[in-house]
Amino acid sequence: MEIVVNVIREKIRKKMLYVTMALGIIVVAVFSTDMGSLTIGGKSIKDYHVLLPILINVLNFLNGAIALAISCSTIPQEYERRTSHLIWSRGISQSRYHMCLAAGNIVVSWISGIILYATLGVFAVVNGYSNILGRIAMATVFMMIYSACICMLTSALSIRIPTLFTGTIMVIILVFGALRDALKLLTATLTGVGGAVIKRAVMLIPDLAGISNQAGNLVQEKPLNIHVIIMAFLVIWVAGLLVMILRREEA
Amino acid sequence: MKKAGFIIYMLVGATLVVSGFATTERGLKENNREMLYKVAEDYEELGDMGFKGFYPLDYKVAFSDSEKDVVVSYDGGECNYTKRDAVYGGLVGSIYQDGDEFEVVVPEYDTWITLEAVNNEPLSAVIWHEGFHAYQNSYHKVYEKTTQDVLSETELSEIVDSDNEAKRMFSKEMEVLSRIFTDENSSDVNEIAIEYSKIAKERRGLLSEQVAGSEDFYLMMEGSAYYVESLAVRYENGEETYQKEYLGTASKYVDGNAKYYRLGMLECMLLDKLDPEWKNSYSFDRTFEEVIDDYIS
Amino acid sequence: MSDIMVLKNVKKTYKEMTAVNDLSLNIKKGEVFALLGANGAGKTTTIKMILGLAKASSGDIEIESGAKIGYSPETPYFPEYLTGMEVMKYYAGIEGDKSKKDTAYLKGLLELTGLSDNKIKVKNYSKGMIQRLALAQALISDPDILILDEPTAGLDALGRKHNLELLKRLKEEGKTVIINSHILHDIEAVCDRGVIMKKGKVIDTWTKGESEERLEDKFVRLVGEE
Repeated sequence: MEIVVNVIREKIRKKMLYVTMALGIIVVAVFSTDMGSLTIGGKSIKDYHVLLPILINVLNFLNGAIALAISCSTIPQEYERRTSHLIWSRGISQSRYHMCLAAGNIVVSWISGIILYATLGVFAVVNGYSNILGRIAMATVFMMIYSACICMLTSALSIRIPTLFTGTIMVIILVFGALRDALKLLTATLTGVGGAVIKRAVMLIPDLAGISNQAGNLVQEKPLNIHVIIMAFLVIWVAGLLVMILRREEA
Repeated sequence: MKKAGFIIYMLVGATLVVSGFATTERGLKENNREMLYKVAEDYEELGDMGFKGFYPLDYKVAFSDSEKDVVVSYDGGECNYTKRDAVYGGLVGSIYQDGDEFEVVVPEYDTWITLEAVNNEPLSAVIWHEGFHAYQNSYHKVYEKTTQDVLSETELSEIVDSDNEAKRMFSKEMEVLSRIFTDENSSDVNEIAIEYSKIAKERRGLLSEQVAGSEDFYLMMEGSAYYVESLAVRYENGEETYQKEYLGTASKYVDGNAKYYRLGMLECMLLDKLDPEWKNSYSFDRTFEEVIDDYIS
Repeated sequence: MSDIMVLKNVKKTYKEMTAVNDLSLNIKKGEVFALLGANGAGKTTTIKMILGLAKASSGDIEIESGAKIGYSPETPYFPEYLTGMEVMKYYAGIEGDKSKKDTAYLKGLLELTGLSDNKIKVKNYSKGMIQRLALAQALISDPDILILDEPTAGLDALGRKHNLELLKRLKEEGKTVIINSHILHDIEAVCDRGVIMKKGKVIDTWTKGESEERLEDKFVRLVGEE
C-alpha cells in the first residue's frame, strides 16, 4: 500500500496533473463554445447530448495518453534510480512491487480522468445542461476501465522492454484501439490469407473505442454491450497477470 | 495467503473468460437484427414506394464479415438464419443469386457504422438499395431479359469519362433535371422533360450503340435503386440529410459510376412529377428516357 | 562465535563476464566484516547476491534463519519530494511491522544518524545527509545484519567520525556489519576482519592486528600487482 501511495504522491507533487487539467479545459472549452465547431456529415453539432459521446471519446483518448505517459517510465525509473534495491532487499516480491507501481499509476490516471470529467461537468452546467451531470458521473466508470487497460498494459510491457519501445508499442495500441472501428472497416476490404491474418491481428487490439462507445451509450440511455465491457476487464486481467509474472533478472 | 490471492486472481480470470465466451454474439448479431427491424419499420411507412410487389425483406439478407455470411430470412419479426462461407470477399453491398433466388449481401453493422459516420447512409438504406436489385431481378427478371452485351461499370465509365463532349452534355442533362426541385415554382415539368429528352437524344448520337445501351441499363437499374435508397434515407435521417446527400449532389457529374445513380434517380423524380402513377405500368423492360418520351409526345 | 552467513563457491556470470568467481566466505555473528577490492572486483555483486538483488549463477548463500538484514546502498535515491521522516515512514510501512512505524522510534533513528525530524525535503539534502538517511532507513527493522555499501562516502570529516562511532556502537549491540568501502583507514578503524577481492576472487584475507603491515600497504601490494 505504501508503494501505491508513494507513486500517487510522486506524480501529484511533480504537478503532472496540472497538465491534465489544462488539457481538459482546452478540449472541453473548444468543443463547448463557439471557439470550435464540430461538423459531422455536414451538420454542425452543438447539442450537448449529441456532443457528449464525442467529448467522452476525446477525453478518454486524452486520458489514455496521460495514463501511458504516467506508466511508461514508472517501473524502469525505479530500477534506474535503484529505488528497487531498498524494496527487494526488504523481501517484497517483484510481483507485488510491480503490481503496486501499476496500481499507483492506475489511481493517478483515474484522478487525472476525474479532473477531465469535472471540466466537462463544469461546461455542461455553464451551458445549461446540469441535468446530465449524473450521467457524466456514471460515464467516469468507463474512463476508469479505459485508463486501467492502458496503465496495466504499459506497466506490463515496461518491466522487460526499454521505455522507448514500450512507449511506441503503447502509442500504436492506443491509437489503433481508439480507431478500431475504422481499422475494422479497412480490413474488411482485405481478402486472402494476408487479409485474414491482418483481421485477426486487429482483433487482438483492445477495443478502446468500444469502451468509450459504451460510455456514450450510457449517457444517451442506449443499451450497453456487456461483451465489450467484459473483454476490457479481460485485457486488464491479462495485463495484470503479465505484471505479476514478468520479472527482472536484477534489481 | 499469497497462494489464496493467486487462486482468487485465476478464478476471476476464468470467470471473465467464461463470461467473454458467453456474451460473444454468434450467428445473427443484435445490431444486424436491428437493421432488419428498421427496414420492416420503414416499410410500414414507405410501403412499396409505388413499385408493385416490392418489399426488401422478401429476400434473404446476408450479413458478411467477408469471411462468413449470416444469411437471414425475415418473416414477420422472426429472423431465421444460416451460416456459410462468404460469397464475396471484402466489403460488399450487392446481390447474390443462389439458384433461382436472389439474396441481398451487405456488410455487418459493426463494420458499416464507421462508413455511415462519413457518408450518412444507414445500413438499412443499403438493404433497401440492394433489396430493390433483388426485386428487379426476381420480380421483373431484368438480368434474364437483358439480351444486349452490357459493359461493366468500370469499362463504361472509362469510355464516357474520356469523352469531353459526352461529359459536358451529361452534366447538362443533370442540371436540367435538377430544376425539378431547384426551380419548382417557375418551371413547367413538361418543359424540363422536353429539354432533357432533347439533350439526351443529342448526346446518344455521340455514343456507340453498346455504350448507349449500357448507360440505359445502369440508369434503370442503379438509378431506380438509388431513388429507393434516397427515399429510405429521407424517412430515416430526415429532410436535411436527404437534401444534402442526395439532392445536393444530384446535379454533379463525377467520374466513375455514381453519375448513373444520380441521373437515374433524377429521371425517376421527373417521372414522379409527370405522372405519380408511372410505376404501375413499369416493368423494367424500357429505358426511363423512353417512358419520359411517352409523356411529352 | 557462530557463523551468521556462509557463502559457498558462489559464482555470478553476466554473459561472457564472470563478476564473482567461486567465492566462499564465513561471516561470524557480531563481527564487522569488510569487503575490499578495487572497482570491478565483485564486491557490489556479492552484496547484491546476499540481498537477493541478483541471483547467483551457482553456489550457495546461507543466512541464519530469521536474521533480519538492513541495507544502505552506495548511491541511495529517495523520493525527493519527501522529508526525512516521510522516507522513514515509507520504508517502515513497506516492512509492515507496526511497532516500527512509530514516529518516536523513527525520529530516534534519524537522530542516531545525525539527522533531525524537520520539514526539509530530500531534494534539499546534502550528499552526506542522504548517506545518513540511507543508514537510518537500514536500521528500521532493527536488523541482525547490516550491509553498508560505502557508508562514509560523501561525508565530511565530522560526518565520517560520527558514522564510524555509530558503527562501533552497533557492533557493541551485537549486530553483524558487512562493509564495502574504499576508505581503508575507516575499515581499519571499525572492522574486525575482511577479504580482499580481485577479479571476482578472494585473493587474501585481513584480520585486525594480524600483522604490522598497514591495510593500505597490503591492499596496494596485492591489488596493484598484475
